[in-house]
Amino acid sequence: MADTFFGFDADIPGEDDLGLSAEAELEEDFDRLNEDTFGSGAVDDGDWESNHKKLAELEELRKKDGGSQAIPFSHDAMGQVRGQGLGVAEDMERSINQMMLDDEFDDPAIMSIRKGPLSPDRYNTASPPALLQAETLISPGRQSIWSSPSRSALMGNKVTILQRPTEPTEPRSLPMEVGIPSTFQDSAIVSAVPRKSSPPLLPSSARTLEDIERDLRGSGSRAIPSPPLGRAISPGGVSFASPQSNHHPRGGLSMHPIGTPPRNTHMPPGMPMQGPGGMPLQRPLHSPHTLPPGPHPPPPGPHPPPGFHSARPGMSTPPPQHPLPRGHPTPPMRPPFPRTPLRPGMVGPMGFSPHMMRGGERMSPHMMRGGDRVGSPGPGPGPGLMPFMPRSPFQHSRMPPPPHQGPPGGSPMNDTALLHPYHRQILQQREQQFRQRQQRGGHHPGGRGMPGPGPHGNRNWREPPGFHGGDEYAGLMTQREKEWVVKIQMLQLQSSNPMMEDYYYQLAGCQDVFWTPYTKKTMKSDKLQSSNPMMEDYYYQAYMSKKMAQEAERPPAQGTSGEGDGPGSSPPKLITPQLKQEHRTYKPAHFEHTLGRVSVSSVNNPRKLIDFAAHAEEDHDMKSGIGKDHRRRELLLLIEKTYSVMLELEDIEKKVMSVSEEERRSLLEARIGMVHQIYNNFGLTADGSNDDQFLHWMCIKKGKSLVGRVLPILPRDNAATVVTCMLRNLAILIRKDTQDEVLPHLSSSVSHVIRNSHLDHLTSFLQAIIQGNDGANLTAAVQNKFGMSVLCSLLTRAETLFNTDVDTPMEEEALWGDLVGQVCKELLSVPESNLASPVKPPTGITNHVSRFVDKQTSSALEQRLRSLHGV
Amino acid sequence: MTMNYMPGTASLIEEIDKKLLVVLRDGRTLIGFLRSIDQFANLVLHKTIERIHVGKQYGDIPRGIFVVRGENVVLLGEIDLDNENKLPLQQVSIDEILEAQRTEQLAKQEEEKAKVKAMRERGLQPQPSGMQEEF
Repeated sequence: MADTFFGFDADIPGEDDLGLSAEAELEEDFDRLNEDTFGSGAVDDGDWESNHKKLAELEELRKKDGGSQAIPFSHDAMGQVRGQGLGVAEDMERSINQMMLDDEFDDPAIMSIRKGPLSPDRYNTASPPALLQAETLISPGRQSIWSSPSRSALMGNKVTILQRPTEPTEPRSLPMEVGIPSTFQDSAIVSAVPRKSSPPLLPSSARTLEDIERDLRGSGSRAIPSPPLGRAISPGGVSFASPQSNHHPRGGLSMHPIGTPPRNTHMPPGMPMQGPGGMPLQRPLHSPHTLPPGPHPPPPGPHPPPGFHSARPGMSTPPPQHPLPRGHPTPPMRPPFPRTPLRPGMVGPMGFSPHMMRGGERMSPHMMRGGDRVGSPGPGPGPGLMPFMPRSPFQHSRMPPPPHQGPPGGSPMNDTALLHPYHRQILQQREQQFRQRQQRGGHHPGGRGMPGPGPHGNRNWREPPGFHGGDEYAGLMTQREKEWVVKIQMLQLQSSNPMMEDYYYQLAGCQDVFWTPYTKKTMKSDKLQSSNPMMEDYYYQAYMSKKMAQEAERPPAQGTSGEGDGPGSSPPKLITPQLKQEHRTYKPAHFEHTLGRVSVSSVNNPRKLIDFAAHAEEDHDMKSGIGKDHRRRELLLLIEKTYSVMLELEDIEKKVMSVSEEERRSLLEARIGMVHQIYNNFGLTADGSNDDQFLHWMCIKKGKSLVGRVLPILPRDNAATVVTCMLRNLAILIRKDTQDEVLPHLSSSVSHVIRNSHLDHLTSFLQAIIQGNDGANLTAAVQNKFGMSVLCSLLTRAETLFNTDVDTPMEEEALWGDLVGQVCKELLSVPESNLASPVKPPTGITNHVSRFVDKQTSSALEQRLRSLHGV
Repeated sequence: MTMNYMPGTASLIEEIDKKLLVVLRDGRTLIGFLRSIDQFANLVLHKTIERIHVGKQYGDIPRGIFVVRGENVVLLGEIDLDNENKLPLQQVSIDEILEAQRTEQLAKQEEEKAKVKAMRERGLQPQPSGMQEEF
């Protein structure tokens, strides 16, 4: 955001309370409207207008100054800095005194502080009590606050430097180390908060940078007050606090007593957070001078020490626009100025560079690498940290707030657990790659041939190499804005009915959810057998084979490298990020004094597609009265309707796996109703008097395949009725099927029904074939693949029944035997070349047949069947 | 930073502040620094140049800030800054490249006309080439 461009002069007055509150109300209105249009989060806090105004003023000021004051670093200044040693400290301190932290408003600690002892003037920020509180807050005893290094690491520093070029500083005051505990940082917060310049007093317990440095070095030398200087002058000092030396920031924190207070330093509002205990230590550890000249090895694990990342922003390059006072120790890497002693990546001595005002964007490569790639993937404040980042109403209404402040819940993407397992895997891989790259890069400083290769030669991938130093416009998009965009896009992925809306994604990436071996098994046993394994299991099988291939490729170590949540190790959860889904009712926007309705669409109320339901009705009316055509259309519509019921039903079957017992019961009830409805749509009666509609149905390709899908889920009796009807009209169906050739696909469904039937049903099936259509059925059946398949499964099933069921009534057996005899006769009478082969080779048919016919016939039949399969 | 979005989703975020080459739907080629994006992949390019290639020659027309509506982006990719200047192409002035482009387009039109004519002679109805869009 624009406001991140400049440091703000202290003498820009804050908005007075009255005007602001009135304005705030108005703005809230706008915000609400905007939120409607762009979705929540879009307008969270961007008070761009006021920001812009201030910016404009600033710009004016800068121009007036002729730039001399405003230019942060002249060559001259740098020379001085380097040459003078002690003298520079003053310059530095002056500038540092003008630094200001920016996100205090995000920090509950600060919020609470403000409520109490602070003066009503909200822009007048830090006060001693606040500092003390902050100190206790970040004292070693409360380390839990810092205990989420991985997350904090991902966040940039948002620091604003408040400039008061004209303000005299006391010579005695020492440079303050200013920083924000990483935990509190929200990289995206980059608001320029104008503050009134009433210099708050530092508490006596506050430590200066110098103190810390002294402590760290164990020497009282004041000659090297500024870190960059320290670096330039005594390289030996470099390593003392570097991450490599395993000097844990926290360790340092607890070790050192509180130093002497600097007097009359202007504490920025953020000060409370950089209480003597916490902040200063973190900061120096990572300020540039602590960085060894050599390449940085990556932190050992995915979770580097908290300070490690948080300090990184200090090393990023500053944008030149920051009007810094002369002699500011932070040398911005502007092209016009020689950057001799400093590496492009290293900016401020304090880890404070003007550009930090821009928020995380300006993170140095290290920071990015450390946080982004190496650290755990959690970006924003972790769930654990959320309580620390609330937005207070006060902040909302009064402060020119940071643009796009995230929802209190933190960023939506910070928890990998919410991600699709498949994607989590990808993310892990990505991380690993980053880590590897970092390692590689660490050994080759300046890899990629960037200008000015320094210790940070392997530059962040996010920053265009070669532009690192000169690209003053980098970071126009703040972290928060980026997160906002990501959030919106993730929001779009959210679905209440993923199986419906995102079918292929679910199937390809999330097989595990619905197709774990367990559910698979239960589903199978549920139906005894999949009705159409080829169709149903296609994706599953394709996916599984793919997955297996992948796993075979991957080295075993990698597969388990996650936190134990590698693929397969735990039942995957649902997929899309769990964002709060808002359900709003759409109220069409109404503008006064307008005619008609203005079409307004927004994120929450997208423009409606054409309403085709109305059309369907129209069609209906128009068609009525046109006889045959009309009936056919009605049938088609009926099939469509039945299909949607069918799909719904299948959805229910999937849902059943994942819901509670009670829901399951109601779902199952609904399922029964649907099955019934589907069956009714066939228009069949048990006595076979009303086959017409079903026959018409079976003349339509889609209807046929629907029957194939429905058969396995129908109750046994209903299924038997359907099959009987089909078999009774087999000849017609076969004739009508010559073009479509769908019937063979139905054979597996029909076989399924047959396999579940008892002898009485089998008998009626066979009777239907033999007696229906004046005997034409049987002739047609043996010459048709579907017919043969049905016959074979009938005989196979009968054999199974005869083998197990001993007590079959004699009459039934006799009837059955008679029917089988007829089938045999037909089989033998049809020319061999005309016999169709069944879909599956029959088993045990001849055994069965030999029960009822003489040996000669059965052997002849056996021969025929064998030759059939030999073909 | 946010790494946790799904692959493919919002990965444009990672291109921010990089130097990108963007090809637009009308065939124009832009090179600039990606400064900002939104969920529609609308882009803000900074220090943009429009690069025109004709044969082995190319020319750059400075365009400044370029706001691209996302739907117009055909492809975009990061410029390899190391090898950016090692193109096997010859840079020419704007005027030259514009002239070259013009002649190229004329030649193309001629060719197209000839093709249409030849097809007509053979009794074929020339199909409008789908690649060209009117802007």
